[in-house]
Amino acid sequence: MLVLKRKAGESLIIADNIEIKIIEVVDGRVKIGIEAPKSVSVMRKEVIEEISSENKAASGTKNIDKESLKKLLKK
Amino acid sequence: MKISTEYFGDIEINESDIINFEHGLLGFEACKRFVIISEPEMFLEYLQCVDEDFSIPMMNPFLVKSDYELELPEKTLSELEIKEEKDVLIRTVVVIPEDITQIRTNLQSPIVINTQNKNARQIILDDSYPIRYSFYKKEEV
Repeated sequence: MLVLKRKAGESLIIADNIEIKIIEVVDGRVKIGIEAPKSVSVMRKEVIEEISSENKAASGTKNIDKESLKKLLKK
Repeated sequence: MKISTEYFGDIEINESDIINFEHGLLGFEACKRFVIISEPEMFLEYLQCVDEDFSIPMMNPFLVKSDYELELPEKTLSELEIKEEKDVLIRTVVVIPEDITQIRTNLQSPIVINTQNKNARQIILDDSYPIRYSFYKKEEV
């Protein structure tokens, strides 16, 4: 992994058209501004991981009690 | 073609029913081809992977959240080549734990299917909707 040191107000440019700017650093929290084309998706990593783990939990469904489920919601 | 599944047994599927997830599903990036299996008399459906044996329950989120609203990002519209709203099917992943009162669906990350060309993707919305939306007996309140 490439590691660079930056101060508040400084930026990084990735591949010509993505700018990552350090806006503020307070008490161990960093505020980051990202400018990128709309086609580039930017996500918090923990969100991706949480969704991935929900998908895995969903796929683990075994022997569900169909009768209770049928009562739960009508189609 | 025929596929063998542990959960549904051997099932016969038509090539034309195959839904293509170019990017797979989060956590299951390797599986790109799925079919939808309906559960009779119930709100559940399953996304069954064609190339591996696993399936994911999903549902129509509007059944438990009638004011569910989402604006599809331009990127999704162009990627899935969506031309008309009526061609879009929205489903959300359902987690059914052994304790059924914990049943929940992921409203933050719906599955968007273009029913015309069968292209699909699980997209991620902002956090206005939860990843874990519990709906056990919500309707009865």
